[in-house]
Amino acid sequence: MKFSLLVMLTLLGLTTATSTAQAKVIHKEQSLYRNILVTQVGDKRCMTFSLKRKKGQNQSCLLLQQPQKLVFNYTKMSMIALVAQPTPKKVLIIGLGGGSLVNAIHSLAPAAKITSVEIDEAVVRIAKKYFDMANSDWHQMVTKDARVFVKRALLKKQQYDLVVLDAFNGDYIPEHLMTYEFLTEVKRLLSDKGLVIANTFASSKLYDHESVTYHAAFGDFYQVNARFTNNRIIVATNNALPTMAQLQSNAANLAQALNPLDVSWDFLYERLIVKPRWDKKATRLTDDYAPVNLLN
Amino acid sequence: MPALPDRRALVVYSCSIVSGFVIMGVELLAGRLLSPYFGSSIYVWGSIITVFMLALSIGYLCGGHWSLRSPSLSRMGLLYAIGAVLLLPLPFWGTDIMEVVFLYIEDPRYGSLTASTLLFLPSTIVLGMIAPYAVRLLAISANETGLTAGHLYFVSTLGSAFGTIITSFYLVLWMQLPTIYLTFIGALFAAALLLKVSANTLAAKPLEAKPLKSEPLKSKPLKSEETV
Repeated sequence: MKFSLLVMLTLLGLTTATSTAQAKVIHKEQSLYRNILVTQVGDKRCMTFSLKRKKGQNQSCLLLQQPQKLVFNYTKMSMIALVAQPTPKKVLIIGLGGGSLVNAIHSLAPAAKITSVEIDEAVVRIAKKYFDMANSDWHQMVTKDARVFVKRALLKKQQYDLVVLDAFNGDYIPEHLMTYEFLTEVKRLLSDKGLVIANTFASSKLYDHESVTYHAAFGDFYQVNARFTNNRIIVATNNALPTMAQLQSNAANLAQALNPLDVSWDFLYERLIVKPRWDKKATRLTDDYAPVNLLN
Repeated sequence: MPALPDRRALVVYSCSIVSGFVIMGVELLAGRLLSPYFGSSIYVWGSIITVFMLALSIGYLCGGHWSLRSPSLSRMGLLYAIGAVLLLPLPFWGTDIMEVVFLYIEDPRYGSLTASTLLFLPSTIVLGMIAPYAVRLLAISANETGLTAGHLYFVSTLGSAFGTIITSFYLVLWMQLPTIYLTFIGALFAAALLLKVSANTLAAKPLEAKPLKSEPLKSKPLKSEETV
């Protein structure tokens, strides 16, 4: 009995040792909002918000030798945004992380002015130091709560052609960034041809609540679903959704720029759902009712 | 140990649970109420906690002083009723108040501090007056003041613990924010009513008959073994 316990402990020790040997932690920090870990495996450097490896979420990775190439399927799936809105002049990204979306969007739409909003000053600092992010003539980083930023931007009558919702805390999207009121504010920020994409991975009951809420704010939307995880990218617009023919022709025009990111129209098309389904009786999430973590 | 609490004391303890519950329930929901305007950054919680602590400290001071003037159950009930009325703006005008603050104060730190002050300071001061007032109503003799205060804080802080867990685990799942506030307000009015009714029916042993009068406590000199 004692012996087998010893063996088990040794084995456990060995497996832990090997996994830490694979992923070297190059920076570890407890910020005001979360634990931030920068790890590196070979050429791949990642920012993680959770010590537990849960669903692989909250990660942003950079391949040091091929900085353009996107690592995760959900970031690849997010490129539907540029296929649906190929010429954004102003882009707002909520949730900076390691900035992989900033780089990808810049490579597809080099003329776009990108503003990224991140609540956590430590994330901004780490993105600068380890992920090559910088303020430039095309990219401005703002350290602010996204809800406050959006409300102020509305007061200043600013408009964006593309808004990317990618804010996560340790669990999921913060409650006040999931409500009908917030999405309505985001919609008012959009230009006439404006488009919003949201990175979500709602499971269980929250999927229905989230879908009902997006539909209430934007009307019909498309989604891009991951095949083996429950990541989904919601694609919604201020006015009409693009037709399939439009998407296809935009993708053809972008094909060369999409290639280095390891994204193709086939990849997106295989995952695109034009008529998503959900339980329409689910309660809409509002500022008065958003028990997000209790539902997920 | 003092004798088993009489019915009067039971009423005071029960109502203290209610006010403890409501104070923490309101504080917990403050974060939810403010987040659409001021976000959920750490300074929003900083503002909320500062305002609640400040309000409670003012409340304790005022409640202590007010207990010197012919304390009674019905006056304690009045505190609950006023506290309830002062909470009414939250469900009805909360967003309007925050909207105005948001327009005039750009820095979300001072914005959230100002909004918290306007929304939560008045009601929490009044609810904070209850604890020292209840100690005065329960106090039997100078020797046992500490014990009475200990029991009262035990009960009301237990109420706060329940208010925190029940609100965050269940009420937010069952009800809309304004409904939760109205439930709290209803509970305070119920406590006010109970105190008023008890004041009339349990008047057999008026407090004035107790050794403590409205003058400050004159405690006997402590015996040496009582000094710890």
